[in-house]
Amino acid sequence: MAEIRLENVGHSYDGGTTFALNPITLTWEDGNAIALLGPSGCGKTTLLNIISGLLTPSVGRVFFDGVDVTDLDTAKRNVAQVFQFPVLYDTMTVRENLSFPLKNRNVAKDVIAARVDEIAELLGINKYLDIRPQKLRSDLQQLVSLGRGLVRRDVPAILFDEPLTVIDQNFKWTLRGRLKEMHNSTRYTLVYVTHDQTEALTFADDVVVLNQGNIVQTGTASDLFLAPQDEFVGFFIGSPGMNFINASVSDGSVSIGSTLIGTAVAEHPIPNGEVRLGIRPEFLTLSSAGTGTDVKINRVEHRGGYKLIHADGPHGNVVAKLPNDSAFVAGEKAQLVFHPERTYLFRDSKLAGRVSTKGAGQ
Amino acid sequence: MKTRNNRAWFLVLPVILVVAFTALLPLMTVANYAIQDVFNPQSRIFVGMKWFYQITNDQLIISAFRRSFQFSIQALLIQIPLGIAIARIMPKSGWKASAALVAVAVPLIIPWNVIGSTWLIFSRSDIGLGGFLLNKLFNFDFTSDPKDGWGLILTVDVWHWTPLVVLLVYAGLRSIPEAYYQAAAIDGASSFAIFKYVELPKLRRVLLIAVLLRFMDSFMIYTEPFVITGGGPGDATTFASILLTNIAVGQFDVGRAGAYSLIFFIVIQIMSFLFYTVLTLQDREEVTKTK
Amino acid sequence: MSLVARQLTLRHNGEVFLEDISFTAKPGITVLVGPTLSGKTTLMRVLAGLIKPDSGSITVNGNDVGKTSVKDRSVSFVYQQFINYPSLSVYDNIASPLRVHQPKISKEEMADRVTEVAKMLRITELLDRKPSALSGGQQQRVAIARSLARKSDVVLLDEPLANLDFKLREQLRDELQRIFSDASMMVIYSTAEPLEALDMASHTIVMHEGRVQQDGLALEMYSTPKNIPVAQAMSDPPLNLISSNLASKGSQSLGSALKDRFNGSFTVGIRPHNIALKSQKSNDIAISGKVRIAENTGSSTFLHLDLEDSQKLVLELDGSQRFEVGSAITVYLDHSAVFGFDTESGNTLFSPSAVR
Repeated sequence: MAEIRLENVGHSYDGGTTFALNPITLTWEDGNAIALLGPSGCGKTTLLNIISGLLTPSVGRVFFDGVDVTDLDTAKRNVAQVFQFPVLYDTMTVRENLSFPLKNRNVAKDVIAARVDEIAELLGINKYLDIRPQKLRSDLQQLVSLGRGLVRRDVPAILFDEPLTVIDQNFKWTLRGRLKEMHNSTRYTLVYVTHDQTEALTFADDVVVLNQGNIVQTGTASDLFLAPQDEFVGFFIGSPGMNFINASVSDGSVSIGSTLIGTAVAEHPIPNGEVRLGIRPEFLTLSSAGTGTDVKINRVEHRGGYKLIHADGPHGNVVAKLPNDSAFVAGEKAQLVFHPERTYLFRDSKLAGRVSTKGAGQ
Repeated sequence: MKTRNNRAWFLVLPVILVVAFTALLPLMTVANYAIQDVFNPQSRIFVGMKWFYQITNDQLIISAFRRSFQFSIQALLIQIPLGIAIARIMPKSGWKASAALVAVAVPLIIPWNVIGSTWLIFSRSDIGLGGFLLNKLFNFDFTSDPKDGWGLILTVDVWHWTPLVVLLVYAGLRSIPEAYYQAAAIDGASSFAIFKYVELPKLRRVLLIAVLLRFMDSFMIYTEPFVITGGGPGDATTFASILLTNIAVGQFDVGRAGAYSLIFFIVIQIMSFLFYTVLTLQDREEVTKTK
Repeated sequence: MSLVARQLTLRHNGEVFLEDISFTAKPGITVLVGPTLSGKTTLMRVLAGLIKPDSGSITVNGNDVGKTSVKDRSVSFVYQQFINYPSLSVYDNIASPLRVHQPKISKEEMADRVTEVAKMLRITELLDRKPSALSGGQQQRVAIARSLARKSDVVLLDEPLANLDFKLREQLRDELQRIFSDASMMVIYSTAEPLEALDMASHTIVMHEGRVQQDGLALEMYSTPKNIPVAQAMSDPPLNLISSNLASKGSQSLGSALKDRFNGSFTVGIRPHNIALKSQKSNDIAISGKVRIAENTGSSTFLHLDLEDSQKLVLELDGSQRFEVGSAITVYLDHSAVFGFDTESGNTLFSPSAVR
């Protein structure tokens, strides 16, 4: 496994007019699980293909353990990659499919057999080993494809391109857990591309959030959830994403409209003016008594384990996640209660500080 | 509401008429002749299945069929691998690909009798460019040596029709998703392994079409042997279709020829069916999937 | 107005695709929930008339449509794979069913309908473009707009959001719910995600292995499923299923702690968010296990435990919490949130008393 370093790596598919991936520089330590997360078209697959060697970047250099591999093709870089849909050798059995990468590298027969059994066990496909993969359902086929990517140990990194797309919902949970366990015990460098945040956040040590060809923020799941540096991260992470309400700062006091919410807390004092107050539905509550920002509840969604309360206020719509026993109904009026530590302020889409609501009228 | 649909059927009518005149009616005519003995247009006798019994015991006809069969097999054994090899080395995209495709397709667009005439002159051991050279080196003379005659027709057929195999295989190769090649590269597969495990399996259907087409056409080969060797030397290149024409047109033994035609038709049907069944065996196995 | 399906059955090559499907869909959204291969897509195709069932009937507004060919039926279909006519502009795509409509629709009315649905789906600026120039989400909106423009009696949507990315799905789900609830047509929406059924908050039918398992309101099926397949189809994350014979601190076994609900051996079901690290109520059921892994999503932590007898348990906890792999831990099941299932048949023996 290797340390992966990118220096000013960027790529344009149309000769420089637009960049699918704007130049970025980063270093990933050996043994980390990294997720590239973002909406369609954000550049995550482009980035993955640059690392694997399937794409040569328009600008920049790629280094594995300090060695410049930018001009080497995939086979020479020795990475393993798993694709979004099953890529299988039709004429071979599952066992032969899994052995193939090792056979091509002249690994000893007994080592191959042991390794194949180990991986098949991990993925739960050991009873299919002697069948031809075309006879299997597509999600089982994907497991075979996944297995072929995992079977080699001597790779600098294993790359995954949205590999669980065709896997059944319930099995995704089991499989994710197993991949995580495998990573914990083996510490391979794994780079995982997905648009599913649950996959990305649970799987990775480092999550790289991309949007429109740029890295917006890198961090752990907690970092991204609790300390989003950019409105996009607030919006994209979390289901549903962060609420944004127009507010204003005046001499350190934060107000929504004419209602005072609290005091601004920031490293650098926030200049007066318009801001956007961001608060996640998990940290927003409602009260039916008291003073504060008035809202009218327009929908109550039962999600099973919790409720989502949608409310309209003069400064935007908000969503709050509340427990099942909360009694609010549509049509009722209520006031917003902001979490004292998890209410953020954004200016020009960037995190500017947070709001301390202790001591302000609630 | 229904009327709107029915009008569309009238657009099919011209096709029906054409097919009727060029295929169905002639076939019916042939079948009609096959059960009669025709001395001349005015004088015919109904003979029932006599011709069919006679043909199945006729050594000349049986040899002609045997020759056609051997020829077909040899042609396939050369054209299919050669076609695949050429298709694999052709450029994949850009202007070079278009140029290569055009160059490869040239033999296909030349009228068949022109092909025959050109090769005839080219191969003559006295005045032909190739023929003269080969005669000096190996004593080649297709007019006297049966093996040379056979070899020449085989070469012409390969030259003429391998491009068809190339085009079909080339199209098949282009339809293989890039991901398979990428995965094979990642798996460290050698060039040969890629051919064996990625390309061949994905080309199965295309190759089936190529084999069936080439088999049928080479079995029925007529124009080239007719123009170049006339069926000779001796009867070295008297294939089934050549003999049939001799009987029908040369001898005007139309009744016998009619029966011969029908048998010819049936033989091709059976052979094609056998080829098809064997080559699609694997597809049928795949239909049942496990859960 | 209604769509009534009666005993639809479809078998092929010994495989059962649909078995005895009967239900009634009223105007508004009916959601078909079920895992892949449960028969949802097959049922949609049968309802559209694309496949003929072996037996059974479909009645739309009182008329049996079995003999009516697909193009004469008043039905539109939205596919998972954003299918649009690639050579037509968005405007022409949406107008296409109107152009072949019988009786003829005037040009003005066509224009009106197209602009109306384009506004509903928020694609008015895209009307001149071709589908290939649009993103996946936009293409699917065009397909949906096309299905609405037709104003057919029945609109079928086959997992329409499945090929879109996570966030887009969330946004479109919200919009679709609003758009289709207003309409006066029968909308049948299939999905593998229970959250979509709960969001649409309406008539839900759970399918499993080609059969209708349960028919009713989404929340009903969430809190009182008839059997394990229904419970699982309505649970994301999946329901934990463990044996009642497992030991429990404070009583002999899980089963004995739940004696008041059922006497005997059975399968215990509990949702990951109904298990806690501390005892909160006096009748919470304690169970011990070993930590296998902890998955942190920022908003919650999924804790995977190994229990005795190779059984497993997953907890969903609030916020980020750290755990040491391999450490022993005791967790507490909310007594009022437990399901009991018959181990043989999977049928529900008892369910929680309220939505938990």
